[in-house]
Amino acid sequence: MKKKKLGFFFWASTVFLVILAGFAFLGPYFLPEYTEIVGPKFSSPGPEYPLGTDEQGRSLLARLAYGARISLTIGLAVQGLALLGGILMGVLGSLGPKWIATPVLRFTDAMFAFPDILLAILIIGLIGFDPKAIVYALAITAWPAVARLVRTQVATLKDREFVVASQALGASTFYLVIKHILPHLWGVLLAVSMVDLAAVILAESSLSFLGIGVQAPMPSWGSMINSGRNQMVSHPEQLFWPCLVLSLTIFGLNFVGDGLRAIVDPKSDVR
Amino acid sequence: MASSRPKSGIWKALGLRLFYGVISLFFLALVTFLIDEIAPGDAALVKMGEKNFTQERYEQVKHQMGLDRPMPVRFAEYVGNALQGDFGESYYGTREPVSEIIGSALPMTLMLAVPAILLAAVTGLVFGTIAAIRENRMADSSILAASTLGVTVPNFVMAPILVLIFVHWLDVLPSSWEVNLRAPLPFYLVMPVLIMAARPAATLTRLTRASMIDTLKMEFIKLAKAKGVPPWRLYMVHGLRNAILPVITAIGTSFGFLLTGSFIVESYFIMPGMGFEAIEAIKKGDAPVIMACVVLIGAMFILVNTIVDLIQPFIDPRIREVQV
Repeated sequence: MKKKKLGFFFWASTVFLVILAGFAFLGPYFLPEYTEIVGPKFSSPGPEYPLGTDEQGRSLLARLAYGARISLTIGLAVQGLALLGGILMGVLGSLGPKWIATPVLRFTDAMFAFPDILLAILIIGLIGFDPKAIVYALAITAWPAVARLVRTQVATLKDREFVVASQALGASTFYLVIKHILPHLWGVLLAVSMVDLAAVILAESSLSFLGIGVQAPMPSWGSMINSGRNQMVSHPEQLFWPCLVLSLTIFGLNFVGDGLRAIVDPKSDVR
Repeated sequence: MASSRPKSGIWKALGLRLFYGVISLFFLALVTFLIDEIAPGDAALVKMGEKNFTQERYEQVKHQMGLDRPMPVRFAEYVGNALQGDFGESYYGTREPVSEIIGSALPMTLMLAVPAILLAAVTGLVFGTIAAIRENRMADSSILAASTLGVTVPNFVMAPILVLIFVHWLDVLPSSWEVNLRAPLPFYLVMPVLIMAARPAATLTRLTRASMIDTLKMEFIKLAKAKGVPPWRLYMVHGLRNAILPVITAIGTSFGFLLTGSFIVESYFIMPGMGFEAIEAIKKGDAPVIMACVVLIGAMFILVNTIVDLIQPFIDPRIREVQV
């Protein structure tokens, strides 16, 4: 067996994500408030604002860090809820009694009638766009993919010797799930959650870019990109920084997810 | 008769798939309707205007609009009307029928989505095959790197980059849609189509590559090579014909991402398609327009996926046998 090595990109991505999380969650302690006007409009980098200021004279770095905080918070909340719902529905759909499993399976599959984030757009469009609604809308959109993954994983685990043995000894389905099935799922779920988190962050930024996500004055990378494109030619840095940070975050999460996947799932290839 | 059995099996499977498509459409409409039900907006209140509100008149308007009838009845009516192309009227402005808004928005979205998915499919197949043939060589790694960019760079990041290049530096393309076109139509479509196609093209490239690499390792490829089949025939007929199946399934899924991409692209380039109209409607709280746009975009997605599944057995004889 050839042993897979985690490449340069995996470690670079990990370092980037750690720094980003550091900025996001420790930023408020050493950066100015995101609404605070710290200098003249569009000033070039200075000691107080390392990346310069925006069209209102607010620190660009502070806004990026708060944007990271919002994106990561929403992303983690959504992914947490999606995992909860997806694991529950996935396990019910594959191990539950038939009268529960069949409707759960059908319902999960039917959810794929809504492509990508169309359902989230519908929910936000009709119910309103405060951060809480965004979290619920994206979680409702994200759980079916988790459920489907759990289902395929459980299907292969179900016939493994240790599960069959436990079953033969009289273990209840509930005991099997807690003791034998779930512990085997964490690895794959963690790896896939990284890639899913990237998708959620992308979705949140897309909504904010469209003006139906996080609302001003709260900064979000998506809305920063949207306002930055007005000064694309005169002040390209307004557009450059949020674009770069967002792209690197998505890139990084995908790489870390693929790397983890290669570790936990020896059959899969690093793409 | 032994020979007629597979044939009836395939028709049964196709019929089942078609039925599944119809069920999906029904589910799509139902969920859309239910979310509108629990949403805070009130059509009767919008219709009468909040200024001259009296409880009595409110009940009257509600009755006139049929909103006091039970939910299943109203859902049946919504579906019935929608099948005849009637999605109600807009809450705002001149209370324009939603069908008229859709009537001008749908062609715009199709004009972007159809070339984009074709471009994505062709790019994916061509570059994926090249990458597979040249596995682990220069061409392969550059194609993989490009496809990684295609997957990770969001389309609203790609858009300003392209605008910077094609509008501000090269000055060859118009920066956004105009009511009175000042250049030939295709000029306006280049950037939107490229951006919408980028992500599907990247995923399809990766998938074609992976599928083709697996296929090229098969015994029958070795045999064909040993028999002296010329390379282009080996790759195109023996290889791609077998590798293409998962790719075709993925074209259906990618089309979904492409359609949601139209929200961003149409908003960015101010092109009045379904995505643009939906976002404008969301900002105003115009529920009938939002619902119609979502239902139709979802319907396009279901339609393409159903077609993709229906043509599969005709491309791959192996499926025909499995389904018997």
